[in-house]
Amino acid sequence: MAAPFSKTDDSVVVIIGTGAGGGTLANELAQKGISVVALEAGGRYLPEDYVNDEWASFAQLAWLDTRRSDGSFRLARDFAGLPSWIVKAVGGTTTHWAGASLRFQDHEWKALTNYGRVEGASLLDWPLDAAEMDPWYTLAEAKMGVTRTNGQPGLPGNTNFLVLEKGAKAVGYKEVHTGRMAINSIEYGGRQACQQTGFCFQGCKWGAKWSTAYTEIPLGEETGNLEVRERCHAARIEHDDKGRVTGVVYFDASGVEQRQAARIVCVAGNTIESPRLLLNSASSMFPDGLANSSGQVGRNYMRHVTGSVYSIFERPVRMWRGTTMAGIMQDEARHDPSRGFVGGYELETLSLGLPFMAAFLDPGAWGREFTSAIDGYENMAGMWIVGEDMPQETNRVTVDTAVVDQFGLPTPVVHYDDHPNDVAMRDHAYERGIAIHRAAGAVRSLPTPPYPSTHNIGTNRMSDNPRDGVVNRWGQTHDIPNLFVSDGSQFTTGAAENPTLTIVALAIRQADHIAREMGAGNL
Amino acid sequence: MKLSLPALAFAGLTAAAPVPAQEAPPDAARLEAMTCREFLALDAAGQATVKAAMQAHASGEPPPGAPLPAPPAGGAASARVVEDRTGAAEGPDTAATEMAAAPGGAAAPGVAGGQNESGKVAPGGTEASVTDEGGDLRLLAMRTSCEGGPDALALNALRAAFGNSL
Repeated sequence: MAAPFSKTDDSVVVIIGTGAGGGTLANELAQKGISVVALEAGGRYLPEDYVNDEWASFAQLAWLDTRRSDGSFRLARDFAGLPSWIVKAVGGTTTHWAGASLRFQDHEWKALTNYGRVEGASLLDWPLDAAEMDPWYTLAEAKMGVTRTNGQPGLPGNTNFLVLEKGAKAVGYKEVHTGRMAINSIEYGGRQACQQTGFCFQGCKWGAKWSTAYTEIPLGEETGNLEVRERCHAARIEHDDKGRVTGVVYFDASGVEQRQAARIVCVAGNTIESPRLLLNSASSMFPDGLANSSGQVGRNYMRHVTGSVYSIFERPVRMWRGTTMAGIMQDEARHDPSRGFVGGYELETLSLGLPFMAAFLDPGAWGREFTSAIDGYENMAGMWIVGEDMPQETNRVTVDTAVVDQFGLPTPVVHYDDHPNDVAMRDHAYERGIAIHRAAGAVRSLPTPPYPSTHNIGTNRMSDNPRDGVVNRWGQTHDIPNLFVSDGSQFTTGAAENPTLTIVALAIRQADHIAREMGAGNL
Repeated sequence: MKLSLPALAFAGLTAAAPVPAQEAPPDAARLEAMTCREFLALDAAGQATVKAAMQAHASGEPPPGAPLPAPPAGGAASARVVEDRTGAAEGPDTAATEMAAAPGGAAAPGVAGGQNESGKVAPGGTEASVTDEGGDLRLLAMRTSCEGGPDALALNALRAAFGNSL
């Protein structure tokens, strides 16, 4: 049941975004009896609405507002208007994500300490560590029903996994399994088990994959303490003359400007929209944008070292059957500089449908070599590289005041250049991925360039020293005590793991902190 | 001659697997308490027997009759089963041929791809076709569900392998 709050009610917590961070935070606060208004730019789609058709689903869910890719990475050429593939809907990108739920490795919380200074990179230690995060990870895994935790069995492997497993073990790898996935392997949380029908990226028709759209959000709404306003696009955050935020101006579903008063504002619009909102909220008191006294808002954009290896076998694989991300190989996730780079990477099976394969295998390619690869689709197996990319201050989100969106707001520009460490890691991963597939009998391998990323992290990084980042150890901005960041943009460094589990764990922890501080009268 | 994975597993296990001291009677409580670690420690035939018994138990049907295997005396069988299943002992070409053939969904002669023994349509990614070599891909799915999660209940791994098709 929605709880309509008055727009002048300045006792509410306003959360912008309802994905892994915002959706989780909204429910956690609502469960604690705190009044929450969540502003969501997209509409509400539930399993019965999802479409098992890649392009139709993309049109339904993807964030397609004006954006621009910039920099030397190939995406700026291949997808100039689509730097990332994220979702504009209630539930955010948790409708689209694959479900991989891996904890950071211990050393990754302290990248600067463990890797040392890397030229051209702005490495920094998180203010947190594995021991502090352990209980929050445990809560997140239980909430999400992560397989191979809390007694949940693993998902069964599909053919794509069996190929990965066969090849990986043949070349000597040991840590290969069907993953820790926030996809029900058995009935859990009132949701049924995965039926292995694929199309995980298009929204799970079974509701087996955890998404805030049909877990956290309705649970929060049931308390009567959460109101989700759909198709409401946040335009700017306002503040008083003491520098405390007081409300959020947004455009409602009819395009009419509205204002919601707030006691606390939590920004969770994903790594591109969150810094954009802070920058677009510039005022005479904060001429460079909110929470930006350090100049760090928008900087250190990370997207993980990605890339794929698709290989063609003599006989059918039919990788599209079953979970889209059906297995993970973790042996290369360690930090081992002898490989020629710092940090590590995961290899995760991945399948694209034929329409997306044609679009992403080698964008712009044509001729016999390309068409023969597409001809081999049925016999294809695939894997995706997910590695830790180096934070760089020059990789950043800025706003272009000359190009405005449908609301007249300056649009984001995403600049990204690969760091040499990223290039070395990707090359290593391509070589190992090909070796794995060859060991399983591949007759032709196709290293594939990065897609528009769903892993968007950094840009409002967490730091102990206000000079180095935007938020403190609680996601609270250094400059404004009642302004929080609650999504992946608060990541200090990216680690090698898919980010959602960590975003959820941080959101649960942040909710606990906010409730405690509110109770103590400090917020 | 092309050997199936189960055949290779049996060939490898004949000498390696410990001889069970005695066959235990079917036991619903044991099935419900069995962990993935215990399941994976059984030899291939034992896993198939347990899987069949669990399938019947989970479906509320009478047990199939075959006695449950006794737990193995040591952990050697477990490692060997895993190794044989993944084909680490095989040449890459053999492994690749089998891997690309069996689970890929190519229907075995006389068996419709995507259907299990009872004729139910199987989840697409883990087709339960009985291959021409007699392999049971539901069993394979149950094993992959168990691996890496030794403390999960084997009965839950069975449920994961079958989705809602039990």
